[in-house]
Amino acid sequence: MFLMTLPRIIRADQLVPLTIEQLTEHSQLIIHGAVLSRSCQRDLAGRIYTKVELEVSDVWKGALTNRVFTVVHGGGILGDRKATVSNQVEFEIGEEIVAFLVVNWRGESLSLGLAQGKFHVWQDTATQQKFACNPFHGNPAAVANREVLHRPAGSGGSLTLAELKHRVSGGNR
Amino acid sequence: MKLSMALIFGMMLGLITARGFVVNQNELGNDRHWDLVNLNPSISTNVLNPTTRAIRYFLASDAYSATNTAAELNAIRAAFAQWQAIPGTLLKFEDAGLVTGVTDVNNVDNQNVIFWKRDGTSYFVNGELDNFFGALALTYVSTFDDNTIAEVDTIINGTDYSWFTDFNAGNTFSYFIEASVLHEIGHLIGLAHSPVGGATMLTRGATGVNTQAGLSADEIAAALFLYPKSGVRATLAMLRGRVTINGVAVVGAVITAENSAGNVGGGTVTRADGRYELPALPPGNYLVRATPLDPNAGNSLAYLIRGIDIASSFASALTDFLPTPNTPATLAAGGTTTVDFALASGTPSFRITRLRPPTPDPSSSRVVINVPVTLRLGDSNLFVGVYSPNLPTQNATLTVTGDGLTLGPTIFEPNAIQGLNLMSVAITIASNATPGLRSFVIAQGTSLAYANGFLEILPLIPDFNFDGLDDTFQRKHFPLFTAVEAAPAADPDHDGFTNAREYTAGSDPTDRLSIHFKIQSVKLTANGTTITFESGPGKRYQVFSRRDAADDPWQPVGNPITAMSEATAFFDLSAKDNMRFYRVEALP
Repeated sequence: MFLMTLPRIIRADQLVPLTIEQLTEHSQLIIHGAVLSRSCQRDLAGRIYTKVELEVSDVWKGALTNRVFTVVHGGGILGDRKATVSNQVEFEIGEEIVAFLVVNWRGESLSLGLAQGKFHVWQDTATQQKFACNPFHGNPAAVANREVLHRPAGSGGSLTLAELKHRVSGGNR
Repeated sequence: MKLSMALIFGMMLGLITARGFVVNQNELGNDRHWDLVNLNPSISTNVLNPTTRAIRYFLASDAYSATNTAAELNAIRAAFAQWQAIPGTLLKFEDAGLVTGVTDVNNVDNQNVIFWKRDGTSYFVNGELDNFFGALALTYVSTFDDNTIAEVDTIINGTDYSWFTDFNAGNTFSYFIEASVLHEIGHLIGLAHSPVGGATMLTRGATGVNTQAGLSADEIAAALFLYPKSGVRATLAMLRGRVTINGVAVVGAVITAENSAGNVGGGTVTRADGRYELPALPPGNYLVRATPLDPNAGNSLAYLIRGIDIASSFASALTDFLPTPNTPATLAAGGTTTVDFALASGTPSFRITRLRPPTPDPSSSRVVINVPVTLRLGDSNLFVGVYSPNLPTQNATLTVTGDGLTLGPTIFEPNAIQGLNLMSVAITIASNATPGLRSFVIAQGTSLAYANGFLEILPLIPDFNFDGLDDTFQRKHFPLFTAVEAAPAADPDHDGFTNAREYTAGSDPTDRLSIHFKIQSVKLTANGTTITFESGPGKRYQVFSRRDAADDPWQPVGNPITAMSEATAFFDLSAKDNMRFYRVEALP
């Protein structure tokens, strides 16, 4: 008789991590671009929401006719009121991003899974290589630029923009 | 003029200080909270009752399931009641009723609503402005420009996750509604996530009745700070300080205050100016330390709590400094104690990024979790442990803070699973150990790593609503264990025995015939016999007697009597010769 060893890794998160493949599968549109502007307004029911204008450089999934494209998300500041929700997607002016988007019945595009649907893109100044990260995938520049942790092989870490695109392509098949 | 304004703004920014626990603050350092004292006239009476000062909430009538709807709605009510039950706070909630039909987030419709989204196909919420795929639950908060709260809605994901209500069911596959809603109510009253492992406001909770269930000392301190009753703050102590490296402020350093029992009394993170406050701690002796959050690494096994797990505003937390040893601090009621930290810059030699749940056999199971582990008083020889990719593989110790523990030697398992090193230790919890949130500590020379509050020692008797009565008993007999009729002093079956006494007696507090009150003594004298029995004040009783147990019929003795106290003495004049058998019946 021998004892079975059953290794199990269990995660429990308020925001459950979506794989890149899940993000790809559930997105209707995946674009690579940069943030041009943000503006806040109200919808017909009075909800505060934010419109984000993007300059699209590449479309990874779906089709677009215009280079300037608008996405929306709930929340923002308007008048004396501010509306927020934790884990909301945030866009910074000038930020380079890859956005995994879904389209609502009004035809507006919005981030899939709140903050999970946006990858921030940054460039390594030494190698000029571009990397991408969202809350659960890839390293932000601050981490990747120093060896903070020993990372075992195959357990994740930095995610290049090219690799993200490759995985999106694979998820599209 | 512009210069003056800019200067004032800059000065105000310089004063922004992180509170104990973590409160959402605006750019001016105003804590997000409901103003229950000076009501904002813009707030609808439907949102905040101006008379009772209670925050009103509506529940979607369909709840999660078609078969357990009432219990699911009660689970939400119980979560509100637990926050309200924190002694010394003004927090008050009011069940405003049920709403029907299609429910959605809308922070300007003058209703605080909690509902499940469970149509199975669409993840659109908030007027189809957001897609919540991947989220367990979300709380949308609308605030005024002074950061006081105007309106709140909470959505629970019933599409991807299953939910249950029974605290005693042992369900480990679904999410415990009460715990998740308790967490969301924390957001509803202004809190961000906590860096304390066993806190309700930790960013994550496992399936089953997890450590988010029941409010921790961290949330209690938060409620006491944000919503204190008059005079309460004078009974509490303030710990504050500033965290720097070479004089430069450190943002996102975790400050943990551990009480004399080794339990975490509170935790917070420093803000942009490096300052922190733990403003509502019980007076006493504490050990205080500063530890780094984990980097936002792409390798998910390489972190436990990151800046973005607290709030997006802490995404830039400085994570490269060495954890400090403990600094003793004595906190007095109404006083302020300052503990500053001058940190050493550098990458920690190791971190704790995962936990091993208790197991009796260290060789048979290597389960890896990212939530706290729980133990009970009296547990013995169970193995708990910690993982990370860079834990020491020798010449280090793993300990757990606090009283009443017996720990074995540290066991090392390099590369135990998927590149994670494991350090384990056998642990025995004394029956008189102090329940609460303990911390794992690894020491190797001067190098340290902590998992603050990531081991919870459960009390023998759960009392989530602080009423002194065992929740298990209340949950068993009442659909809503926090309801007025479930309170210790209530007597819902009108048998004269309070719920507290029925708990002691082991009877059903909702069935007046279930009480088995005892005859405490029978004393025979030449003048008669005195029978003393347990009684309910105000209740009527009839005493019966008979001469022998076999054939003699029970005969009433005298007239019914009304009890005046919890023990009644009845004098039987007719019984002067021999001991008799007695029986007492409670009358309707």
